[in-house]
Amino acid sequence: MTTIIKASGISKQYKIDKTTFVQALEDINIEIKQGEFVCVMGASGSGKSTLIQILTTIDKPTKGTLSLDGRSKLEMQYDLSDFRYQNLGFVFQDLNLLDEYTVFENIALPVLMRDGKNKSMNDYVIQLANKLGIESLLYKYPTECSGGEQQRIAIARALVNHPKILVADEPTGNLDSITVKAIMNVFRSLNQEGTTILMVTHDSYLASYSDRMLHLKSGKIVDEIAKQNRTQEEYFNKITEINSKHNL
Amino acid sequence: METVRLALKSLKYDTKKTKSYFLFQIFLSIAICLCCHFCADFGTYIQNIPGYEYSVFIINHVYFISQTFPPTTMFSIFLLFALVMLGFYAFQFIYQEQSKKIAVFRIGGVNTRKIVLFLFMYLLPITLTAMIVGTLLGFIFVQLLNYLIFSFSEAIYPGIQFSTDGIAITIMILFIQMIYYIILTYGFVYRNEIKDVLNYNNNGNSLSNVRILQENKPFRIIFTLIGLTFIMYLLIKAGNILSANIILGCTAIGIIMKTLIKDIIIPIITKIKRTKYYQKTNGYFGYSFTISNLVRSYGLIFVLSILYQFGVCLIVFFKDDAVDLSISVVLFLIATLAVVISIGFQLLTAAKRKKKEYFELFRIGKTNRDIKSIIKYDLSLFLIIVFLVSNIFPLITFGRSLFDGTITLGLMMVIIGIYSIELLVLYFIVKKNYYRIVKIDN
Repeated sequence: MTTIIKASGISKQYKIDKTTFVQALEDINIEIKQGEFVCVMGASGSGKSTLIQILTTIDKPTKGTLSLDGRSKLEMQYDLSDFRYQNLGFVFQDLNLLDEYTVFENIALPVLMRDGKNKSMNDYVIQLANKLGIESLLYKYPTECSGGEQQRIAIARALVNHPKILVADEPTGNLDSITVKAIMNVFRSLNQEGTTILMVTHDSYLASYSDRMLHLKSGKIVDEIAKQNRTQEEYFNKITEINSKHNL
Repeated sequence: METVRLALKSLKYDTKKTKSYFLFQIFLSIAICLCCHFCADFGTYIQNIPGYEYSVFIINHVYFISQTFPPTTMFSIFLLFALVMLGFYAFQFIYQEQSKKIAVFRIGGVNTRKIVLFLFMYLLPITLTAMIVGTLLGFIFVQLLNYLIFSFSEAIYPGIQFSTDGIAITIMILFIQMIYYIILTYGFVYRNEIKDVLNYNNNGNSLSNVRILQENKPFRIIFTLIGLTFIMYLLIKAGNILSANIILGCTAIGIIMKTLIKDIIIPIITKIKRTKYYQKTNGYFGYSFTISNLVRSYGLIFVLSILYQFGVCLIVFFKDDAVDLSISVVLFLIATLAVVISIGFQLLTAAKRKKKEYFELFRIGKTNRDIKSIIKYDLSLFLIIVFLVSNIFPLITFGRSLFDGTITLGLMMVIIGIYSIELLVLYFIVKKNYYRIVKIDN
């Protein structure tokens, strides 16, 4: 498998005032292979979201190098929007759906803005909606949909540009267990089709769907575990054990 | 085409949110129209006033302006420049409303050009409609003003007049304003990191790079120096030493005031933190509102103090001349209103950033009544400082004029009264809206 994300010596410092700095990340080294499902866990303020933002070009590291799909960020800096469009799909904790647009427009937004309306995009949006069980909502507005439906709309929007990497920051929020399971099954099926998934979560159950779990504490990777030949239950127990060790 | 359609759909949805921007844009267009009239059209009707001291110079008004450059024309040019720059604050207000959309577009891989097109198409219908309505209203005001001025000077009113130069300059200035907005849009989108836009949207954090002019100190200094040098050159060339002195005096005092706010007043208010009221509100008095807003607004207060001082100087200087006094009063009103409205926009933009801090106040048990009280006291303190700072130089002028007997106490009270009413209206509008913004999400 080829390496799709490679981060070496990544550090991130936030400036509070002239003399005070907060070290959000310190000397992070990660290599993520294409088609892998990686989960990042850690307590609040451990640097999970910062790490995800840096790995996906949303934020810049203070130190270190980043390579995505074999290209360094320096090489991409003039066409980052193209790079994001071709490679990345994001699902946010806050979903960020736009209330003034229909579900169809929300899902197709990046494509509509870049290339305008076309039949293949139209068909693909319908296909995605069918896959995620939201085909009946396409011409409704997000405010008319339930929390679980909105979550699926956000996932569909992240997938509309056929991304190689799907990034999800706390993708299941406060959803009920049945919806959570349905969404995680969607993630698993996408992963089986070859999409690399990078997910941030606090939940050990969600993490048990991944191939590999990284545990972050005070901006450093303090533990790492791969699923290997474990069953999901064994993997879940192992993750819970690690989290307990780090008081999560 | 899809970008345009999406922008228009978004605008239709946000009609209420853009109301204040629309009204401000109408005001700006009326103001621009009046200023252009004073710049270009001044000579057209002044020729018809018998015995007017400049009339001997008038062959055509362009010659008139280049030869004499009266203080009112010079102030109009200065004001025009300030008006276009002040559009920035209304624009910033609108931009921040769009931050969520911009973040979603950028993360989805939409390029800067398309986002700029989206924002521009979003703003174009409101801006253009407001400009057309404002310009038409402006022309009506100009005719009305002509009529009033002729009535004051007891000259024969020549009827409705259209100056082609005035119209041309107005259109040109509005065009420049549109270009300025395109540059601003591009600057906003290009300079802000996605992370900042996202954090602003989710947590109410500051858009650190939004304040292009405020943060770019060398650019600002160079910009001000070039502007001042240009005005001084024109004034001295035109032989108008009085205007040159006024602008130099106002600028010097404005710079001293800026230092006063930044280095003396703000540190003093910081110490208020230790007072009983500060403790009662868990540190939000004199910190969350007053200091941060003084820091954010001192550039605007600086502009306000210069325009206010200049307006006062003109009124005092021309108090015995009906024509120039009328023009001075109109320019004084335009100048102070424009900056007062801009300060209002800036305060309301700050309210959006402060949501999170006010939320903390709710969490520690403060009631809606407490929040209202905090906003009321902080806003009063802020506006009293604005009032005092901008009145320092006019008070010196008033004092000297009262001593010389060139101004009456009544006129002085009227000028300060008008300014106080403007600030009072701003107080009530901002207080109500600030509370609404802070309260909504909590």
